[in-house]
Amino acid sequence: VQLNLDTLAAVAQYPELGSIGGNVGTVNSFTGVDLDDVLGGVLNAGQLLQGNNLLCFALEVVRMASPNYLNNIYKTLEAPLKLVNGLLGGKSLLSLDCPVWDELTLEGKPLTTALQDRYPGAKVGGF
Amino acid sequence: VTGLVDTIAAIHQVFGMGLDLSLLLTVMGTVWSGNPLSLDPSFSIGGNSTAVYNALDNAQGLLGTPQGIEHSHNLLEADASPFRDDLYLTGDAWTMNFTRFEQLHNSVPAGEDFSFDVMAKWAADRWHESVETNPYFYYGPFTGMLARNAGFFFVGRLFANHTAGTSEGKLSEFCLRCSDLPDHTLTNHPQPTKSCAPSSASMKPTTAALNTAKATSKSPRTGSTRPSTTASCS
Repeated sequence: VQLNLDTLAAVAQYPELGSIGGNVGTVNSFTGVDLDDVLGGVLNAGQLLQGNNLLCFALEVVRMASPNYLNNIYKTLEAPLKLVNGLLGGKSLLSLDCPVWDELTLEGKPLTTALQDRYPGAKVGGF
Repeated sequence: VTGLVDTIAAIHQVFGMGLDLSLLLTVMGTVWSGNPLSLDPSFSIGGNSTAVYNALDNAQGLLGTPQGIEHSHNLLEADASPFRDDLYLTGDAWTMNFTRFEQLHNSVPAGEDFSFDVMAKWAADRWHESVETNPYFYYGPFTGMLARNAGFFFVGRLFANHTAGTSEGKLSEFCLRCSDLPDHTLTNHPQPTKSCAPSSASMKPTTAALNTAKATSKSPRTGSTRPSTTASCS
């Protein structure tokens, strides 16, 4: 997948582009999350940059977004999430041969919740 | 406002993107910023529009008003975009910031191309600019790491000229200008002598193009081979 290759090449050159994180209320306060924690042992941070894993991981974030993850745009995400699951669920669709995660967490909390707790900019939407 | 099937076909036809990726992007556009429950799922590429058909009418109670891609911050739209401001900084994440375009444009000597390396450096520069100016800069696992970066590479890949001999795609100064700003005057650079018309047309699929795309989408191409019908710029 060309998008994945482009992203990997850019991350290799500029590692910050492959981080997850944000400023915490002031400028120049960027802190990244521990990728190994988020990846939960399914992959390590180095493996994230192999094959289609980065793309797989990003899609997993989307797929696992919890229906109780609310924002001011939608009152419930249940229906759209079913649609995403239906369309992304079949491996054949994207043919990426992705690793399987049971749940994405950070410091024991669901990933999006943890990200919203930590980064004020994620409150609008934390994907 | 554009429908799900039309969009997939048009992205595939006009930009030569693989059907899998165009399906994914279109689903994301529809689910997060449009109306996915409709019989003809659709979304607006701008703000909210009454033309986004609500099949259930009361879907607003269920999903809220479809906001359009412009208002999908941290769902599809993210901080540190190529040419747009961060939402927090200006409250407007969708209006082109021409100064940024000019910065990128002038970072490459006249006559040279906007290569992958140029676009990657621009992505990194914009990332650092957001860290330095936006206290609420957020770089999420999907919106930041993947979708936001994709925006930079899409500029480099999708707006480039893919002809035999430049199979990787070549984004010239001329193509970059035509992709977004056919009528602006850039400092230090003469106006292109060629017309932007063919390129501009390719950015905005006509009804005819959509119909052609629909017809051809029955035999899906995999991979990113460039359809031969794409208008060229060089």
